[in-house]
Amino acid sequence: MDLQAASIAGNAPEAAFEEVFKTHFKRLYAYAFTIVKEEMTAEEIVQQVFFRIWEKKGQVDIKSSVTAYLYRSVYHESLNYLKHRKVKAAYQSHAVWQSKNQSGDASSKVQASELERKLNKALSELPEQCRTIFQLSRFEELKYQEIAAKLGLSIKTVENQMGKALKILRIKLADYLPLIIAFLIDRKP
Amino acid sequence: MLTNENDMNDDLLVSYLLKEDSQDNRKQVERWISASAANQRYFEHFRLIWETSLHIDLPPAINENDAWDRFQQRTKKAQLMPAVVRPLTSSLKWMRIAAILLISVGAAGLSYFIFTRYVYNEKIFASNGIIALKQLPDGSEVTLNKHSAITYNSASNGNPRKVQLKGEAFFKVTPDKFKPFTVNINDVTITVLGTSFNVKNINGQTEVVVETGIVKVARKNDSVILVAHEKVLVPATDSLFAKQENADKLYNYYRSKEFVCDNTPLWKLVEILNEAYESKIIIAREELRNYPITTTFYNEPLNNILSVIAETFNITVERRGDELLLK
Repeated sequence: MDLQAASIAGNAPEAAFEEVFKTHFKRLYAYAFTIVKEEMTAEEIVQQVFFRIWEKKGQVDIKSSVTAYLYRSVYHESLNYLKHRKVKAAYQSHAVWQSKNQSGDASSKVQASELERKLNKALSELPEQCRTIFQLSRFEELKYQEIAAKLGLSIKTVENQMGKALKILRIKLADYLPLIIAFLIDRKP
Repeated sequence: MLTNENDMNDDLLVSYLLKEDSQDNRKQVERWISASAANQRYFEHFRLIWETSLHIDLPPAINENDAWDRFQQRTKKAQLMPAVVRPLTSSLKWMRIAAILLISVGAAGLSYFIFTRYVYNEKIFASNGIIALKQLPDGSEVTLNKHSAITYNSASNGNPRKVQLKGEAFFKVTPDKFKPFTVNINDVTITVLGTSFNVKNINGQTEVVVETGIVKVARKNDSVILVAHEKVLVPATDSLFAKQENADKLYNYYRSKEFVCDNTPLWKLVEILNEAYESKIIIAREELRNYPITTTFYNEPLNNILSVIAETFNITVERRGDELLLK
């Protein structure tokens, strides 16, 4: 991955750029989707991130790893989108469209619990590095060591960030977590 | 050493939960968890959050090769028109208009300003007997086929971007991911962020063909997402619909002024010719219907086109009243 850091940042031959795009697209798309919850917007965000790199050609300064850079960009672009959407007048028509869209497949899906909804929101409020590491661990099912290698971080940092993520989530969700854990009793050997 | 709640480190707990830690650590953590009910609860909260997070929706799968094609369309377009400065110029233009209004019309002008700025201003544009091009306030371009009409929002910022269509039109929508552009036709809603596509009403059925970008076509609870070179035909009755590949470019004739046939069955070409020339060509021999034709006709008299068809298939064209029979 880090070999590609040089080529994507420098005057990248088209083939190298294409490879980076195809390697990361699906996962970045899933990442954007978990934040913005709309298929088209998620794709648009990832396209936009790559487009900006393409536009700048040699001037993108990627210090650590390409993966970290891409996830960071998608994260910020997604939040930016959510922020704008709240402000813009278009929000209303968009929300109507979205709710229609969601009610459509409600029958096929179990209604999300209150905890799930709150968790969804709390996740998108995590700091960038925390959120990205959580994404890689939870949805891409990567081991600490793999995450560290991808993002150019130490395993210790990954461990810290995962601890931090769960801790923040627990605090934010405090009101929705059960006081008594019933199923604990039969778990012990 | 980890005997009370204060001594426990969240990082270790999470590592334990994710099975990322060593055998030694596991024993320590287990000891800590079983030390008190509060510790157990603390840990179970972590577990609950971790497990709940797995139920968060993931999007339907997407193909990275298709995404790459769309990306290339975007870069190609950017190479053709390197600088897009529309947002700035249109707002400047607006300010100029506002300034003129304020100075020359005074208070009346001001109320007009407020009115046009915030009220959804519906306007109708109809093509009647000609093919017509219309630019919408947001910069999007609509090519209307003959006998078609759009109702659109003429408010100066063009927001919300909503169009009602009758007949057939080709849309080239100015990208703005914060303001979705919607087209309503029959009971179908088409939503895009910035792409080009053709919409046609065929006896109550709605056909959408995508040229670039991504388009969402929805009716009630049903929807499909289309990308370039895909199309959908939404039936008039309330039944399901599915996307298909779109192989031919014939749909584009009224905009490109050419009929591109690529292994197109004769009946399809005849259908489009009848529409374009308002003629009544009839295929009089059943077996001719599926004869494939590959050629391009430019904007030329119908007689020329028919004589090429006749020659290609070795058939004759017979005139009967205003009908033209191929046999």
